[in-house]
Amino acid sequence: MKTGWMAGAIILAAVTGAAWGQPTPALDLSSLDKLEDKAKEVNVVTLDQNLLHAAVVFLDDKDKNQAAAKALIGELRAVYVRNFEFAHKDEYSMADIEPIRKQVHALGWSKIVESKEKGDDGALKEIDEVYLNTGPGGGLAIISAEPKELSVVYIDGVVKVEDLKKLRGLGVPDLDIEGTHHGSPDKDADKK
Amino acid sequence: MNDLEDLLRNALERREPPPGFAERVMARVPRRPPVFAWWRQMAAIAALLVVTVSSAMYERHREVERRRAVEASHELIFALRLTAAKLDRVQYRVARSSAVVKVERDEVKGNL
Repeated sequence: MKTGWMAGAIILAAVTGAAWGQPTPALDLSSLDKLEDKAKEVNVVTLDQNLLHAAVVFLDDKDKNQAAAKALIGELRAVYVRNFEFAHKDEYSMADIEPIRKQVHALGWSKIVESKEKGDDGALKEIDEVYLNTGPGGGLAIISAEPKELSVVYIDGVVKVEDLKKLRGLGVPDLDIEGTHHGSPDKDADKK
Repeated sequence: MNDLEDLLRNALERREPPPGFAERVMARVPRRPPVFAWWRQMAAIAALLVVTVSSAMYERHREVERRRAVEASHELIFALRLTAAKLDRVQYRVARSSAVVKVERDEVKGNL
């Protein structure tokens, strides 16, 4: 009977330990959940470290792009994507992404690229921002707001520029982000 | 002496048991209660059932895990493709705005 209780306690400790082992993501994307009802197409990806490692097994080493993706995943803790496509313009507002922008600013991440486009009324029409956490934990966040599409990508973990470049087959451009990766100050390139 | 021999011979003479002796002896041998045998059979069936069900559940769990991993690999490829597309878009927009700035600068220089 005693052994039964001990076994139960060990299993419980293992389960709760595993749950505690999952790190809390630095960015909370829940402010976008309300857009799911408005969008005509929703793509939500939430891959924690366990799922990433499980997914790696099914990536094909012979495929150059998938092999590059495999190398990139090595030091990643999680990948989150929220992608919404809307039937009409103005079905979401910039206020919807403001909580996420505030979070990355509060965390002190470097904004490595920013591109804004204003409408005739002076209001923001399109915005693209790329943030990089140059600290030891690493991290990459992309906010892309178009009139009929909103995407937020958050990659938790150390993103190596070299590995990103290897993903060119997937369409990754040759961004000049070498300096920022090694801890250079915030490069706010406010393009209009 | 002969009397003694006769006596012993008679006493040790091979004799057949009376008819029905074996049946009577077997009838007196205590039997194990049949309930016990039934219980053992049921326990064996239950153990077999537990092993079979556990094995099936484990296989099902593995299959679910495998499917989830395949799904995760598709999601990962989608996530990386979207990341790539958005970075591509940012680069294009930055390059485009740089080109516009350059043209405007050249125009200003030309006017001067």
